[in-house]
Amino acid sequence: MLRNKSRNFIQKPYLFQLSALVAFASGLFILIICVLMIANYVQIVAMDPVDQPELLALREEFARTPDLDPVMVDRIRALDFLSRKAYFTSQTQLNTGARLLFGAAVVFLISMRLAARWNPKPPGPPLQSATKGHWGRQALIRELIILSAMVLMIAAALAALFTPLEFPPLEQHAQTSAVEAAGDTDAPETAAVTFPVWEDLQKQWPSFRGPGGYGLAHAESVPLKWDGESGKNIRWKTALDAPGFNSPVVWGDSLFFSSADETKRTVHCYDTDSGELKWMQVLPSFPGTPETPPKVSADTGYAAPTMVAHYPYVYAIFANGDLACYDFSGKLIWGKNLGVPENHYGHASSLIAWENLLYIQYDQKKNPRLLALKADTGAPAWEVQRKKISWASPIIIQRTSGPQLILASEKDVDAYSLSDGTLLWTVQCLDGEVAPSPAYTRDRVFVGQDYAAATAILLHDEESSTTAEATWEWDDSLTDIASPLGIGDYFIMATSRGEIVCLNAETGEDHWLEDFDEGFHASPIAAGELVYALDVAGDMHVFKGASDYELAARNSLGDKASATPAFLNGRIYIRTHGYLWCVEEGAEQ
Amino acid sequence: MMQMYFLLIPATLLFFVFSVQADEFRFPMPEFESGYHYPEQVLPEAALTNPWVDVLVLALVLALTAWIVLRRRSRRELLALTVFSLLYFGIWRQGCVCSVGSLQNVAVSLIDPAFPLPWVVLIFFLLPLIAALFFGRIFCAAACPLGAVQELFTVFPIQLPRPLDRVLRLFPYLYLGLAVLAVCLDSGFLICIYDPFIGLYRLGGSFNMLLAGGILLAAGIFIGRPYCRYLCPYGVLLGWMSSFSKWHLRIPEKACIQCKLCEEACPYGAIDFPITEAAPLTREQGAKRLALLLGIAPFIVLFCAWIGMTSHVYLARLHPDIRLTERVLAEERGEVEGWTIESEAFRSGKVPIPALLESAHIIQKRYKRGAAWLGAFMGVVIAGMIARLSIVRRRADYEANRTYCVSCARCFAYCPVEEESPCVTQ
Repeated sequence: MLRNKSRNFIQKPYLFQLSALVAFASGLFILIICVLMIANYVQIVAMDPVDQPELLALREEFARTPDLDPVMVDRIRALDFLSRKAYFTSQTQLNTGARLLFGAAVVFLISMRLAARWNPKPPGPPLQSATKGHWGRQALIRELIILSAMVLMIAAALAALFTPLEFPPLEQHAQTSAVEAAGDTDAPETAAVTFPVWEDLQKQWPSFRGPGGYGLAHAESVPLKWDGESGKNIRWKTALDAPGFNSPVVWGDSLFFSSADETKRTVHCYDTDSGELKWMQVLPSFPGTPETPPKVSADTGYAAPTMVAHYPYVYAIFANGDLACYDFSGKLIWGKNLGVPENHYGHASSLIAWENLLYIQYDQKKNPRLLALKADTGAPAWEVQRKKISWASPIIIQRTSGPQLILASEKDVDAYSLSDGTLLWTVQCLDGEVAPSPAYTRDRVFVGQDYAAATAILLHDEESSTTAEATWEWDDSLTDIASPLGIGDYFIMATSRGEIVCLNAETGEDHWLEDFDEGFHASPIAAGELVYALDVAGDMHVFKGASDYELAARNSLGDKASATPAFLNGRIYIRTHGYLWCVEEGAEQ
Repeated sequence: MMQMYFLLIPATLLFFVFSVQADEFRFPMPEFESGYHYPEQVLPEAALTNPWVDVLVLALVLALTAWIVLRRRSRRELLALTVFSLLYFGIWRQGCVCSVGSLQNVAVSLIDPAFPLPWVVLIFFLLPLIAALFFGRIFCAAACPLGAVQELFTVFPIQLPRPLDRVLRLFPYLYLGLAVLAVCLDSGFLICIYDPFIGLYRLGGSFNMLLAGGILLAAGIFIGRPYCRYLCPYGVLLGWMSSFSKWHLRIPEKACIQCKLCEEACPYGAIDFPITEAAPLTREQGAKRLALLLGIAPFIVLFCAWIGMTSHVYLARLHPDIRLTERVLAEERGEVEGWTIESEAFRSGKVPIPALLESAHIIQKRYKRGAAWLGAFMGVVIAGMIARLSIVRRRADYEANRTYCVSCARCFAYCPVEEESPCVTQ
């Protein structure tokens, strides 16, 4: 049979050089095209034709313009067209480049093979069989296989060792499984939940600093004088053994607060009439609940954030990121861990709720966020990325353009839409570690922070939007823990150094500044014309929110206090370090 | 000549840039107010090739390869057939159906009888194996599109040291075990997902796989067929079949003169040398050592099974639900920013997180058992390899290793005993 043996190991130098040259040229061509295409690719990846800043700015401007401006419409269209055209041109270049490359690669491969053919390597002396004897080589292979097997096993064992079991054990999760399963929006039990509206909230003390969270008590006949030692006007007093600085919240005849230490997180519910414990629930572990608690400062503790009561549920958050929802009978509805916040003092921002959403200002070092969860199931509704860490709590204010969620953090005061988290306005005026929450009165939001200037932000309502501008600053005695208070024409600030200052809301003029023996951690609360400021010794200073300082009363409880009192239905509920107090006019213990 | 070696870099980059074309960029269409209507999207009609044509072509290519390798002994004709297979099975059929991937279909159909296994796929799986049983790995020689592209890129081959080559040949077994484990535990067809050359045939694919394909081809210029030798799981089965092949190619058709030229010619380390030295052990000593090895083999297997079982948490990540669970929990904990497409789809559904978690636990449990089996399989492979290396054999001539030889016909031209060999004619 005829066999075709064309390979004859004859070298053809000229043909070899020619093919080598072609291979080199095509290789170089490939290299250049590759570099150009990679640059183009990077450009395309970075390109976002529909969200260009100029285009977005124009759109926003267009949205704010009440009348249709044809010039602006044309500008938007032209810019939109240009950016899309640029994008598609780049993509066409990329496709053309890929085809060129494919062709060049074929040329490169053929010329390489031809070069190898015309410069063949003639048969030479053997390589491997001569180097080592058969048995020696076999022994070496055997040893290498054993070694490789060991390396593989060690690698597998190490991989297993360092692969954390990401999922919490089922039994640990079982307690929450049933209730989270109810997170299905079709479940009849959750579908029937109706949450309160603003009018309902105003009749309760649902959150830190009351309805809206800006320290205004919608209450009449608030007790003016009491005495802890004699029991005058003290309806009841209950001893507490519950570590935590959060403030009590009250809904109807239930008072809630939370406590926590390194190992245990607890939600407490007390009867507002008798001061008796209704129920107390220790939180189970949720998926992601850390075994070891995060480091917190002694001043913050593990239960600094105040709960929010949002009938029929009540919510609590803790320093380790655990968030739990209970109903008013103490049954766990849902719970989850939001991830341990990276917070060097400990998480302190309190919760707030509005209609069917629960808001969490989760400002931390890494991945700061504003979360909105569905109040009935805990499912995420929306999420907004934040910029900086903070310890302040959100407030909700009512404007003619709609309610707004106001947040303060380092640098910025931001307002968000409650429904979808759209940023409504932002003012850059803060600095440092921001703990005090914003205050609000009339058309002004007020923020103050030690080591930065206090600022009043004037809001301008338009038909469907609000604009904001900083109007004045004040940088004398500033607060670092207690939140400022807006009352009528004034802003009041109580500092941890024991000063209270009253500023004119419109002009920033300081009307008065009073020094006290003790500092203030609890935020002052306005009830009618009066301001109630509880100092750390447990003394409540009651004075008029007016341009002149006029002390109305000074009431002592004889126990240290950090939490902000709750005001509801003619009573004041005060959580001191060792007791829970109910103050009511005419009551005797 | 050396300057051409440096062109390896653009060859690698080439495949990087191919990925550029692969990515799809989509964004919302402009909102026209001028009454403009977008043209309706028209999908081209499916141009299906009768799958039996593929079977026929495969059978013909295998038959032709056997004829060329065993009778014609022509490297040039084999290369022509290789180019044909590359064009047909690779470019035209875009790498599917493919015998390499078909082993997954067969594996899953064995585990789950309800899984549909088309006849065409079964034939694609069996035909090369049957051919290997008679003629050696002729499928690898010219019919496999994955092998074809690597064969063409093997331009300046160098030989890896034999011990290194043999050790690296452990990895196809591991890949085979992982691929079977993955399909049996509903974790996807790994061989298809991680096919490094499919992106080349389809001019598109994920960045990582295109890059891997580019690197393999660039490396293949010097290290012949790296995927076939050190990764291909189907090659393991073909090697097993080929070991028993009836008419495997011989390097010299007649008597070997032990010129050692074929040893240098083979870039795939598939030439077995004659064993002329006396064995270092007596027959009795050799038998004892082998008996000892066989005695400890069960312990090796059990130990490997235990290692496999301990790594089940890691291996379970092959399953998409495990990855989804990890992602969703990380999102819940705020460890990651935003949602992925998968987690967004999950959240828009009605499955609660605990149900997902429960499912993840069940999958991990299944993986615990599966990973133990994988470890045991690797234990058998390792013990078998060691035992095989410890058996005293006799070999008088240079021979093609029936397990590893891919019948590429490169050695024919070097054999001076070969009729009309240039080594003779010169």
